[in-house]
Amino acid sequence: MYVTKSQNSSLLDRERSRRSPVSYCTYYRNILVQNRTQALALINDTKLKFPSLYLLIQEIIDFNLFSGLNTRNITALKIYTDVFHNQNLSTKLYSYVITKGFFEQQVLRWMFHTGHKWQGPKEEFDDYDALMDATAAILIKKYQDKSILPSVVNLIFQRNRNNLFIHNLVWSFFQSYDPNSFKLITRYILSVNQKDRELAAKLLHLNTPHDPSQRQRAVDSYRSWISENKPYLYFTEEHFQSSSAPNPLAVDLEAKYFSKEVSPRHKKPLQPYTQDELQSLRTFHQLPNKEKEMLATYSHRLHQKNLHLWKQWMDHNIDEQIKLVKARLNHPNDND
Amino acid sequence: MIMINGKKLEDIPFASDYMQDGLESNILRVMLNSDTVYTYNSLPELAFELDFRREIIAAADLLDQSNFNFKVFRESTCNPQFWDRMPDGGFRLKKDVKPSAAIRDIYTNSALYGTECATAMVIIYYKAMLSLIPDEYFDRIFPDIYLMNWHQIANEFEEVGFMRPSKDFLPGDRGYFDNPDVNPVTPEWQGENVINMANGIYYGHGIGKFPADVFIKSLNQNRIEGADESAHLLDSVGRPNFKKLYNIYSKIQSRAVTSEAVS
Repeated sequence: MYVTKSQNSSLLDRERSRRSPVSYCTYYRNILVQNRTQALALINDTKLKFPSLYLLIQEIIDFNLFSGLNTRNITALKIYTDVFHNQNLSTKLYSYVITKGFFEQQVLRWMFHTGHKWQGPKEEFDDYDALMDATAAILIKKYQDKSILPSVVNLIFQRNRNNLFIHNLVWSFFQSYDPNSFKLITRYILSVNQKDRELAAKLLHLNTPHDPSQRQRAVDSYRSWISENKPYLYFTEEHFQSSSAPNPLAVDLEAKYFSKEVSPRHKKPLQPYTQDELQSLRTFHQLPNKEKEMLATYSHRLHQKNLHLWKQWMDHNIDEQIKLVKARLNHPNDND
Repeated sequence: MIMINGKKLEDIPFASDYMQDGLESNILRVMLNSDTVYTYNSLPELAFELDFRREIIAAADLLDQSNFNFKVFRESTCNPQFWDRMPDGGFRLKKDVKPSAAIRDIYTNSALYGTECATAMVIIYYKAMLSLIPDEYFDRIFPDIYLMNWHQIANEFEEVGFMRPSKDFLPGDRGYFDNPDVNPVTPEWQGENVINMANGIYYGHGIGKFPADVFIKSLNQNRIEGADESAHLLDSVGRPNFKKLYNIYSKIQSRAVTSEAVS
């Protein structure tokens, strides 16, 4: 009897974890020869993890198991052929129609969640790693699935420690267009592993202090920056394929000045600017960056604190606004 | 505008020598008509940048004519006589080979090599430098080369990895066609790193030497279902720090002159 319901993991997962990939495949081939029905039950086990299916693709082809596979496994194999354009497998799967949408997303989640911790059959960046990259990319890009982002971040750092390729995974992470998810990276600034700290600093576009006691402050400051600017943050399209030091997130100072939320993907305010605002923007554009930042920050904070005072302040022209802000900064204890 | 040691280029004797027809004058025209002020300490420093840009374009041209393959990182290939293939798909120079010979081998035994577009760009910069300085100096300056897109670049070239907003896109500059709605199963079509070859032509490894619309069309053919955003050329460019490279170059020149005088 190969299936024992009392076990938390499937028999194939247990055998895979104690054998080499070649020995695991031989083990499964032997079961297939002896008892095909039992072999199919094992591979269709609901508790099966994706790597245990992945390693048996050749056995599935050689023994023509397709008609006995459950929909989860057929869908996973279809996704595999989409990524690698495997003609042989594609022909065999031609007659199977899979349901796109919710079901495909569930299978992709199964592939990623049960598969991302396994490093693949080779120590270098291989097809398995590329498949995990594609799975994450489809979930994020096609299904806007943010539930996998914590695991994506863990995988990026795990691979980086082993000097493996991370750039596609980082690209997928950026494609979530979710500024808040950058907070997931901040804990690596505090890591004892130098490679973690260096990569975290690169992804957050931060200079991290050499002094370990100052690192928590850098993390707190970055998290506050995200929290304060979240409505005005947009993605710059920079990533590792185009740049060695991408700065993926930036603040739309114009939007912050008018307290207008922007689309993080398109850098456009969700509510269009009025004619009056567009007129003010022309003056705002001419200002040096430091003054733009000063006005935007002041405006945002005042808007949060007191809408009535903010409206009064916004009624002034920009030169007067600058004077008022500077006076306020010089006398911070004065009442608004 | 171009300023040489505080003076406008037009006011400097012999400046017209650089204004003949050809690639150099093409570059100079864009610089002269620009709002950006391009500053140099000397005329030879400007001449060096023009030479370097010419060599970048020549190196890109040669790569385009070669049998250098396009491969994603997990399938990248190199000549093991000169390079070790690393776990991330990059190539590291073997310890016992000459850097100059290893870079040249990419061009002579091009069919043995295959990688993505960004690494091809980095190879172009090394080849351009190799065309301007003797092998012995090249080998001393770049003793440990790691070819892996914009990462692990030698300090001398680190600025090419940064994309900066620029009003001018000069021949020899690096650009990037971004494809934000790429199909996630073909990440190699996320975008294309290109060299501006002048006259509206770009070189990108894997696509070739074409006008912008060909790059945009190729990238758009590999978008996700329901895509709503076209591929486009970013308005930022990557440039080597020509001043830093000129300082290296002029030191080499003065050493060469000194050793010639001694002998």
